[in-house]
Amino acid sequence: MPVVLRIAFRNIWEHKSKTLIIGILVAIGCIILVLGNAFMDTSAKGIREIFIEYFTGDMMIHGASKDPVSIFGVQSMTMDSDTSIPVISDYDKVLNHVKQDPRVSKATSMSVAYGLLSADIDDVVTISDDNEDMNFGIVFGVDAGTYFDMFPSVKSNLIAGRCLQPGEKAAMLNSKQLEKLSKKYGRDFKVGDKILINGFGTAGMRIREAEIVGIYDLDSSSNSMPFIYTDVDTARVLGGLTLGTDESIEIAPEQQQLLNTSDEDALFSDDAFSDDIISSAPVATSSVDITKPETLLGDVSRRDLLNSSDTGSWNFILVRLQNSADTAHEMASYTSWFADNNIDAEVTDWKGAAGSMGSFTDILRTIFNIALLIISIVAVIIMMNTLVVSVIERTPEIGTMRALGAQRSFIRRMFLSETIMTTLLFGLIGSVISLILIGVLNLLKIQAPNDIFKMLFGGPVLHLSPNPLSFVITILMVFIVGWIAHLFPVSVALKVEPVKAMGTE
Amino acid sequence: MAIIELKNVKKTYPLGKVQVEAVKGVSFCMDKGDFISIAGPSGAGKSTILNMIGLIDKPTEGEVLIEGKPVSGLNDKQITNLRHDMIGFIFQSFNLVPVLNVYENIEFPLLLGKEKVAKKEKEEWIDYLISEVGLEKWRDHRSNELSGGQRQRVAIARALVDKPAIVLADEPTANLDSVTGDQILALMKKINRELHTTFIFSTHDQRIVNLADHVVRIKDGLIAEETRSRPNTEQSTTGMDNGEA
Repeated sequence: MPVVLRIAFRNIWEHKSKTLIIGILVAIGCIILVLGNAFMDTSAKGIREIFIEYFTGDMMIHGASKDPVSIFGVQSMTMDSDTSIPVISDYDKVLNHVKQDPRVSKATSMSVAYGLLSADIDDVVTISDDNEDMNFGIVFGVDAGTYFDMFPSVKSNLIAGRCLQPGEKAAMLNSKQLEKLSKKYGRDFKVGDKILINGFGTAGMRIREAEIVGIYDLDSSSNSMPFIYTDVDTARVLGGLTLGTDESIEIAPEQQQLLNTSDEDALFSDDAFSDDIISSAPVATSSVDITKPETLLGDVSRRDLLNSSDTGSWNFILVRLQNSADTAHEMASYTSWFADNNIDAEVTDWKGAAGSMGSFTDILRTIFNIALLIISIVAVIIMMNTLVVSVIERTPEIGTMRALGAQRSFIRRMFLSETIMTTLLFGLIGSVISLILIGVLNLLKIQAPNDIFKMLFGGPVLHLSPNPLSFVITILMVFIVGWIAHLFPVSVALKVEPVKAMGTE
Repeated sequence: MAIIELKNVKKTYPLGKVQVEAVKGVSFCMDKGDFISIAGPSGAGKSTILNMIGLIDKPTEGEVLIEGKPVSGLNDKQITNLRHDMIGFIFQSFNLVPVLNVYENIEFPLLLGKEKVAKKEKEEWIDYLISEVGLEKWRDHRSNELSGGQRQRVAIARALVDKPAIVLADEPTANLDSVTGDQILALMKKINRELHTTFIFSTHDQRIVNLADHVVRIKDGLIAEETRSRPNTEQSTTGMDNGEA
């Protein structure tokens, strides 16, 4: 063994208390790092699997938007008109391209709206009611012919009824939503019952009645997500994806004058009603047929048009690939194809499609990394301090070595070897302890106490799976921390002159 | 040619706001094979002179020449190499590396050199030195298992392992009892005679002064007296040199 390593190893052994201080710090750091990463990886894997398997597929094509778009809608801080979920332009062309793509395993289309569930027209709540009984749902208007084939988990988790069928106008709810309805109305809801969905958003309020054809109960980690599966037309109408015309209205000068009035007294004064507006209004002379009250409304064709869904409008095409690892490549390929064909559409991966839920583990990991950085800095300072004390204690030894002909590089290597040997040794010990702890935690089968923990655990029970890469990263980080910690003490050691070997006169 | 020459060497140390002149201008030569004693009372400046001869301290003024070559222009690496190749050290407090055993402490300077020594040859040489200093039974013991005299013997063997031209010994008997001190001195004198190694002592031990064939007495940072009991190749007279010449 080279003399540098021999001295380093024996010094580590000789100075057990200092070695232990540094070692325990390193080992604790490793345990935090390995356990934390295992936890993050488990959480990220769980969330990824839930979204890919249940909701988003590997990637999602959507209409172009200046803000990020997810299956939950447009992620914007403002409620301007741009927050409406964009539709895919040239939908047929895009879908055809997807279907011809050999890398694509399955694909389905979907439109999304937001709605509040109720069971009685007299009790329809609106989003502004701020009622704790409010039964909010994200309405997934699906292509029933392909959706349940791509996401069979919904079908396999049906607890009553069946899935929507192509062309059928109905809804599927999850058991929790029905529980809430039952609690509110004091009666059970079952397959065959009808519910009301009050759509809201930038398109205004629209109410649709739908028959419950299925009740699902996805696994507990995703059951709390308030999704209502309906036929696409219902979702389109609720989301404002309807037909209509834009036309300009000509206003007579006297009407314009009235609209321009800003003085309330003038607006409601007697004079205001004595002008031409009222006197010129035609008086209906025809009689009303009470058996046909709709005749009162006159021409309702424009209203009917506004209540007809735009059958070509789709918000999303969800794509499952043969191999999920190809997602990045496929996204690049689709982005390029959209640009080449002047199609105003974009593509995102599952994480983008999952919105803030997809970024959850990233945010958690960032917080973890910041905490880790702070711990590392503290560890470096403590290690540095301990090593400086060691250097000061060993000043005569260093001076002797220098006097006997040791170059500064030898002294540097000696201290580096000691630091690296200590950190790597205790890094490995810390990693082994982490593995044991992971094994123990997995054996304990810790149940998630609530939905947040279910998401964090990646399921109802905590099962950590250590990532070999995280061990490599841990050892690398330990090495870096050790290397940084040794810099200052070594600079102190290098300043020790050989004359320090001599006793003072 | 003198193996070491000091030319009007001065050394000043800062002590708070005051500059203390430890060595005020010293000039003398040392020949190969000399057994030299730099003697004087505590605080006279003898250890400072020894440090400058040993290239572990730099003069504030003046020049140290090794084999006729000035060392003032050398960088730290070159000085370290020169020190390794030419000078062996015996310290007052022995200064053994605590984590190494007797054999490894003696071996240590050999491992710092650029020249590779064959393993067998190295082992034979170190074992010869161990037997010369009478520590065969203590070969694998660490310094904390040795007595003061035994430690100093290890230090002597370590100083000689690189076959240096010069061995510097700073108060080598200061921490030893008189019997052990005599044994150590006899050993060094023997090596001096057999290997013609130049020994330079900083001491106020009269026994060393009596053994020395070249004595430089220092007082208040100046040479008070220089005596030689064997002829010097260049300077054969006994006399004083206060560095002014």
